Parts: sequence; C-alpha cells; structure tokens
Amino acid sequence: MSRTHRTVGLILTALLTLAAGARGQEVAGRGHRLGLVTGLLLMSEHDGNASPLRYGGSAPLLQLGYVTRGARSRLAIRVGGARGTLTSSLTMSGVPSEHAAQHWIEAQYVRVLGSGAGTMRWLAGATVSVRGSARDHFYADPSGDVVSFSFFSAALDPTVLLERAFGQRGTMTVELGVPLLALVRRPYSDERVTAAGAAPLRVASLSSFTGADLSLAYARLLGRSADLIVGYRAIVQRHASGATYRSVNHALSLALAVRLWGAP
Amino acid sequence: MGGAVKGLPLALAGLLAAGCGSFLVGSDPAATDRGAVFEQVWQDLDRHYSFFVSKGIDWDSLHDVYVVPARQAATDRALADAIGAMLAELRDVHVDLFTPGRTYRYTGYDSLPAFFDPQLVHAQYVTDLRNAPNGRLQFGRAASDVGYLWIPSFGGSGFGADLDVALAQLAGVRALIVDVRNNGGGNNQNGLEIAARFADRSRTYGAVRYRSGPRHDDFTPPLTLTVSPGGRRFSGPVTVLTNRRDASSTEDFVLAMRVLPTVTVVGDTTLGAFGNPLTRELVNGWTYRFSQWIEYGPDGTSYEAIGLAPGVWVRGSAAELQNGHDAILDSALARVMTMRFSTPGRIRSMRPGGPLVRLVLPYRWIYTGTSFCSASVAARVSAS
Repeated sequence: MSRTHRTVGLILTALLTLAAGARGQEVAGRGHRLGLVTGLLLMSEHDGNASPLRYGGSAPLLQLGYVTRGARSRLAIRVGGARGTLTSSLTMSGVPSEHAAQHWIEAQYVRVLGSGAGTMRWLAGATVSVRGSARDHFYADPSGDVVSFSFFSAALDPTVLLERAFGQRGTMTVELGVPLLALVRRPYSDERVTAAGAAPLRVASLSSFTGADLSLAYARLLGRSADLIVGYRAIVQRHASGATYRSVNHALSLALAVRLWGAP
Repeated sequence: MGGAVKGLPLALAGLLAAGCGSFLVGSDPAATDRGAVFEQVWQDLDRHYSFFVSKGIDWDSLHDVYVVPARQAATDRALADAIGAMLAELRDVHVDLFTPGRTYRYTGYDSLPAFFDPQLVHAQYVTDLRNAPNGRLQFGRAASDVGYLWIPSFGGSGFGADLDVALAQLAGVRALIVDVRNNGGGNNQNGLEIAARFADRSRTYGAVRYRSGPRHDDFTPPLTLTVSPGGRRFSGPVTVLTNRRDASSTEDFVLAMRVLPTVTVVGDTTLGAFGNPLTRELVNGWTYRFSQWIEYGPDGTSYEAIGLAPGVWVRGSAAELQNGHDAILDSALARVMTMRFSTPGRIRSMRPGGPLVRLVLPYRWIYTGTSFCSASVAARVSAS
C-alpha cells in the first residue's frame, strides 16, 4: 500500500467520522446547481497486454458537474478528466512507466423511492457513463519503445443512492452503481484496427466486463446559494478478453457547487 | 437503519485505507521463477507471433528444446541466453530480447552488403546539403535541376513537414532522388507522410493481416494499406534508392512508392522484414518484441524474408566505393539524365545533340522503367 493511499485513507476516515456524528436534518433542497470538482485521483491498473506488472500513481482531477433536482428526482451530468504518470515496482529513472489520461462523461437520473420524507431516503435509477483511459507505456528497452494502450467503455449502470441529512446544513450521500450493459473498445494488436479503420467497439458480456462505482459525498451548505462537497469515489473495472484488464480508481475530491436558480 | 448508515462510510473508508486498490488489481507475480519467465515469452509468441507458418517453424519443438536450460538456469544471464537462443530460431530482425547490459537479436542479416557511404555521397554527389527543420531528412542537389533527399531513418516525427520545407527550397528541380539506403525503419506512418507528397490520388499499396487467435494460422482479414496525397505535392519523376539494409518501415515506404506512377526504385533488393513489432514486458523488467502481422504487396504477395526487388537492380561494390563511386546513385543519375532528354522543352537547355527520337516520343513511352512497371502494379490494385 502506498504512502499516498494510506494518507488519503486516514483523511477520509476522519472526515466521514465527523460527518457521521452530525445531527440529522432534511436532505438538500431543490434547484439547479453547477459544480466544479477538484481532487486527487489514485489510479491503479493492470493491463495484461502492456505488462504483467501493476502500475499505479496519482493525478489531479478536474470535473464539471450540473445537477437539477426536484421533489422526487435528480438529474446529474458530469464531465471530467485526470492526467498523471503511473509507475511499477521496477520503475527506475522514469522507465518503465505510463503516462495516463482518463476522461469521463456521465449522465445519471434517479428517483426517490417511497415517500422520501424524513432525514433519510433511498433513490434509484440509472447512470450512463462513457469512460476512456489512454496510456502511453514507456518500456525500459534501449530503443525506448513507447506503445499506446487504451480502454474505452460506455456502460449503463443501475444505480442506488442513500441520502441522509446531517445537522442544519449537511447532507451525506452514498451511491452505488454496477454496470449491466457495456460497450468496450480495447485496441491491441489484432484489435487495434479493422478494415473499417478504427478499433471495434464490442458489446461486453456480463462475464467479460464487471465493475462497480461507489461514491460517498458530504455536502455542506455555504450561505444560501453554494455547497461545499467533500467526496470519495471508487471505480473498479475488470475486462477479461484475452489478457485481463483491471483498474481501480480512487478519487478524493473537494467541490464547490453554486445554485443557479430554484429553491435553496 | 441509522446505525447502518453511519457504519457504511466508515467501513468503506477503512477499505480504502487497507489499500483495496492493490487487492483488486492484483499484486505483481514473483520475478524469481525463471521457468515462469520463459513460459511467458513462449506463450506470448505462441499467441501473437505472425510468421510460424510462413517460415515453417515448429514452435512446440523449440519449447521442448529450450525449456530445460531455462528452468535449470542458475543465473538470469543463463535464462536470457536460453530465451535469446530460442528467439534467434525465428530468423526475424523484429524479434529481440532486451536485458540489462545485453540485447539478444537475430544477426543473420548483419553481413548483407550495403555498399553505401553517406559521406561519399554528400562530399562528391550532392551540393548545398542542408538539414530539414525537424532533422528527419537532409536535402540538396545532385544536379542543377535534380533534387536529392536522404532519409536515414523513419523514427521520430515531423517527416511531412520536413519534406514540405525541402520541396519549397528545392523549387525548380525537375526530378528528385529519394535515398533510403541503410534505413532500418521506424514508424510506417512517417514513410506514408513522405509518399503522400508524391501521390497523385489514393492508391492501395498492400495489406496487413494480424495474428488473431490461438492457431498459428489465425489471422484477421486483410486490412488495406493506402497511400493518399497530402502536403506539398511533387509531380515530377522520383527515383528511390534502396539496398539490402532497408527494412521494416522503409520497406513499407518502398511498397507505397512503387505504386505511384512517377516513381522508379533503383538499387538492391531490400532486406525483407515487414513484421510490425509488438513490445512486451517481463515481470523481471526485461522487454522483448516480435512480429505481429504479415504485410502483403498489392498483389497479395508477402515479401517477408525475400525483400522488394527494385525496378532497376544495381548492387555496387566495395571497390567502386573505394574509388569514389556510388554505383546505385550513378545509375539513378544516369537514368534521370536520360529522362530529361525525353522531356519536351528541356532538351535544348540540357544536352544539345541528344537523340532526336527522344524529342519526338512522349516521355512516358521512353521512360518505361517507371511508367510501365507502375502501371502494371496499379492495374493489379484496381483488379483487386
């Protein structure tokens, strides 16, 4: 376990412990919000096509989000990305290493289950996410080979959310999604090109593509029109078609969401 | 319920703190198992290497031969020797094993004749030799209206931009010599950037097929290779100079140039190594690479281990080089001079007194070496 992982884990534990101890209140209000998210993305990947070794590292992330919520539903759209350098246990003098970039676009729609009254409520719906991970792998051979690898997925995730109000101005959200349908593009060797040109986008079976998307967020109302949100998110993906691809991305983020219009 | 809500975040945070990333992604395999390292190389090639069938290689037998010394290797060096010896059996310049301090590669082609001395060419044949901005090629004049380009490698980037600058500065030349001798390759796309400047329209120049399955004869359908016009176009006659040290991306470049109607290839047969290499990494940090596709010419022929024969064969000799003569370039220049006689309107300013018949006949009828050869290739492309 890296020192960065340990530090992030301790910080997150402290934050969530504080949040969990707060007193309950009604969940966050309706309206339209625009949010800017910054944070640290901890990437850990193993792509059997690139190497038998695990590569990991951290990268700053940036995400722009829009959320509109009514009395019984919520729609969220997020666009983000991160870029960083991944290393392995054998990396010396910068090689072997991977320059990695991740980008994502998500649209999520959820509705309240049951009455939704009280300090806690369940929501369920679906998330459509398009994610791309592109990596330039710098090999340690004398000729300095650099080979590009990528993993692209477009997935439909059934999603469940649990929201609970804490204190007068705080709300915590726990969210879990699991991909049900997915299209995957993973160009490599004979999968790199086709007669049509680009690498094929293939329907992934439930057995070949598995994953989970888990997030926690604690939002604190600042004044009347802004929220400060501390978040943690873990996205796990596994694709087994030929060589296995596995990735785990943890993000610890801080966001400022501004209410555009609607009730606070 | 409230207690569960409180407990869940804490449990998740604890999961993170426990380093679930490593747990879910998996830890690195042990690097000390030399037998496993050998098996990774053997299995990788078994699944992805492209020339087992065409070269008649019994890969299973080679496993049986080399697995014993690999498993019994007392040192990493002994293991590398065993793997390197196995890979050398493939007789492929695109197969290498890189270890600290030593690279294992096939050396069977090292003694092929080159008979090319760039310093001789630059000193005695080319004037006003300059570097292009990105340093990918050098250019000058081999005669007052004959441009000369030297491309020593297709590695790096910026080839098209360099050629555009060269063509701008060589304005007024009527013919061009593109010297790719001793060019061991690089990136196919770079060669295509060069060929694009000489293309009149999109033309198919070949195809590739990747290994695509566990059987050694599992391949993708042919993926067509096309050269298309791009950048600053040069429409005059072009002579490409080749020799036995031309390999890989350089041969792809020659394949592309051969289908263009203004191009003639002069020199020696190329090496015959078209396999696009796939680079892999071992758990102990070594890397290796091997061919993953078969490339074909426009007629469906694979020239792997054969090489591309030129339109005009000239090999040269060490003695000629010692006497200050580059036989291949001499031949190319002689052809270009002959070609200029046949170009209407040019004869008076070039060589008064040349054969009258060449004044009368259209250029294309006389310069058959290029036109007819290329036309036949183009016809095959159309037919396919």
